[in-house]
Amino acid sequence: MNSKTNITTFQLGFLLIHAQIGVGILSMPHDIFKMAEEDSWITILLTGMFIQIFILLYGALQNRFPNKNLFEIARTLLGKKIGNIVTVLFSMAYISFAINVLARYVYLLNAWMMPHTPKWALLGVMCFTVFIIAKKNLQIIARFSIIASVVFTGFVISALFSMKDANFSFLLPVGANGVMPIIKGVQATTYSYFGYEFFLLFSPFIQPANKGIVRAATIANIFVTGFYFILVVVTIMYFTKKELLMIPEPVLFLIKSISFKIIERPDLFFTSMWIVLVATTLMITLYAVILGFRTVMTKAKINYIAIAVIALIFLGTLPINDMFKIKAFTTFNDQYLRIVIWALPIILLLISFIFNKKEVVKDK
Amino acid sequence: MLSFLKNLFSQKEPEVQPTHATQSVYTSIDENIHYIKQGLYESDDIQIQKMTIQNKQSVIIYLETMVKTEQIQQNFLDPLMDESIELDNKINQLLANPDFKQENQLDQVIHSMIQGNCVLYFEGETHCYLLNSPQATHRSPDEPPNEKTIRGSHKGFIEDLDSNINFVRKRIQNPQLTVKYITKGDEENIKIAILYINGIANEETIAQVKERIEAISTDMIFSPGYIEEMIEEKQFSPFQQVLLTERPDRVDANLIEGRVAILTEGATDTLIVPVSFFTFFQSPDDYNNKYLAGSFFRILRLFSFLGALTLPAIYIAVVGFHFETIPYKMVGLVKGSIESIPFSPLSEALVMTITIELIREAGIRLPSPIGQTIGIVGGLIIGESVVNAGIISNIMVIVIALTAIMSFVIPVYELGNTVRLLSIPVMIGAATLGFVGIIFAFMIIAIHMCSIESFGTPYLSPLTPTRFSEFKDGIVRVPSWMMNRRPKDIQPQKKIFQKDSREWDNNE
Repeated sequence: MNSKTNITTFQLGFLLIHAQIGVGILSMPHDIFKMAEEDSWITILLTGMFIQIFILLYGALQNRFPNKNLFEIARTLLGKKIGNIVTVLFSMAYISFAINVLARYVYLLNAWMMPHTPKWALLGVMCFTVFIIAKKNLQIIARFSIIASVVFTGFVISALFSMKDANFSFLLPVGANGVMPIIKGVQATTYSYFGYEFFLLFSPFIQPANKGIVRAATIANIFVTGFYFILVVVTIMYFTKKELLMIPEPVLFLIKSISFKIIERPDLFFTSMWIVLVATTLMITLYAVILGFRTVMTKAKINYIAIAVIALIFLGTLPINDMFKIKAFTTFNDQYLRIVIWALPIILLLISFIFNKKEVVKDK
Repeated sequence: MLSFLKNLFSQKEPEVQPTHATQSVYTSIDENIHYIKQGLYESDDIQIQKMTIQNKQSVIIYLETMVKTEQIQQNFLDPLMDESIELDNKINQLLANPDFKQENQLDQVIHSMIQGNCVLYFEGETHCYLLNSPQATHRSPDEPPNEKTIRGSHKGFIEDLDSNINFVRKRIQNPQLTVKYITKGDEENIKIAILYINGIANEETIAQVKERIEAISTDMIFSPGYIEEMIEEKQFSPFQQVLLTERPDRVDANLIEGRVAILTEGATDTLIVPVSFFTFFQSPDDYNNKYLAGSFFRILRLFSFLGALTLPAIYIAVVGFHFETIPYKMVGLVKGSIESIPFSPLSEALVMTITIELIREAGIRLPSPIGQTIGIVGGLIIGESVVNAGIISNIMVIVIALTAIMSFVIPVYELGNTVRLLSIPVMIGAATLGFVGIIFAFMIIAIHMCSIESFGTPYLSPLTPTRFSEFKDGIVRVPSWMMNRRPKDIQPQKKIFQKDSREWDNNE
């Protein structure tokens, strides 16, 4: 492993945060509210805890193979062939995830900001930007995502800014609809959390090896949960129930209603900043895809893989061009990701336990 | 295949290797004169004076353009002529003088003549003497006009390498300050000095600097810019990756922090590596000011970097795409200003940017009284009349003028140029996709900056990779007694810079 591409656990934390927070933040409060209504904030906290269980389980797997990424673990446990199939399954899952992210990005931008801009232009410029960074190394992506974190402060501050018009009673009554809506809400929310599993892929890049990875993932999870929590609570307090059920992007409406002396429509700035979050999610996802294909095709050049993957994503996104197709694709994508991301590592962990397979760490 | 074609079409030039035959000194005056004259290709500034010193036939040969003759006379010839002491004894005495050397290789003799030595030869001997008294005109070490400070040292480097190293050594009286010479430029033989502090500077960095400078193969090193382009990592990057300075105090501070300085004969600019982006926003003035003012100005510079990059682009995007972001009360104002303008905001901005560049360029080249006139004519008259004529909106003039001022705030001139050039693609992005275009242009610039490394130092450190403790000097400037550690990104061997300097304050 080239020492130049190593990242620190601090950088890993930011990578995970950016992988998790992405295209969905503008519409997430609406999606959850449809399920859990006033108890959405409980849902967010529950989902955070639920995800934490997975992080700990993944951590157990990662601990048994400290110098291997998930794809290599699969190859050691399942043999080369099945391992490759698993790797390709994972990579395809991320490709479909990237397609979904891009489709939603184009749709929202077209609906909100640039109604006359052709879709391929918005897609193309995003694909180009992501391409030039994803073919570089993880360190550069990590550095970039730290700069990109400025955007979070913007969102949090503006969300807190609108607290002056907030109505606390909108949060009440707590738990009036029983437990089921909350659980259903959790089911709908997990999609916004995908990305935490990336630490299984990036762990070999971390030096000193295997220290504080789970901690970094946990902190990232807490940050993400906190961030979603703030957005959800503020939107619930700001909008009435009827409004929130109607508006698809409550966060933007929230920001739109704030008007400063010098800027009339801050939501346009925020939509632009949100593009950075979409880009970081895509970069990290794409890097994971390239990593996957590299494990399968060891001889192919990174540049060619990156071009092929980007072309595939670009062409795959073009037909998904309206709300219904996006909804359908999201449902498909959600289920696919759940199978791959939840089931596979757990199966690997079980195999590793049952057959007691472990990586032999050489003494230095 | 390609290389085959290349070989086919390129005529191989026979490499002329300079002959380095070692010819020892002849035993007769005439033979030596002949050889030296041939060696210098019968140049007309060779002076030959035959004379008799204490009954011995002798000759002095020198290049009159390179030698201070009075000094030769005073320091060497007068004592030799003194007949009260025997010649051999006198010569032995003189050999104690470092400027008086014995040499028996004629090619070496010719080489040292070019450097300003005078050759003294006695008939029948197998060696000659080199009398060193070079003629040199030094200007005074004035403050460099492009790195002025209000307080602190006002000394600047001059065009003489020895004096420049002397300035640095005067400031750093430490035996660990190491000077390594490398001679480069096949036809020019320019001396390059690498300065670093042994035990502080990272050894890997030093080795890298040496390796890269050794690798330079050129006939001439015209200016430090040549070296810069040959040793920097990203060769096509618009960003400055080497700090150029003419101030000894700046070199001093950077050496102590663990960086490496590269000085060149005949140039006032010193190259300093490795540097990060934020180094370019530091000015020696920051440390002479109170910490609050120093921090404020530094943050002001960082913001002006961002401003210069984005301000015209944001204006173009707002006017062209997002008119709704303008507050209600200002809509009429802006609309009135741009309504009658026949051009698109982008072409307006480009025309104004180029005009400002023209004024700047003309101002530099002209002598200063005329330069000021150009500033007034260009700035006031053109600016005023271009608006009156209705070619360019007055808000655009304000925006572009502000942008120019912001780019001049950056203490390193080269980075200011980078910003003004980079603002053009950002403007084009804004003109095509509005805010979205700006964001993408910005992301691409940021990605590029993230991928630059200068001799192993990430360009954006300490911002990313993040070291909050180094924001103390990297981004703001905290009081000097709080900056106790060297920047980690240059991987110095000695990490602690100072210990508690205000101990007296704790003794209650």
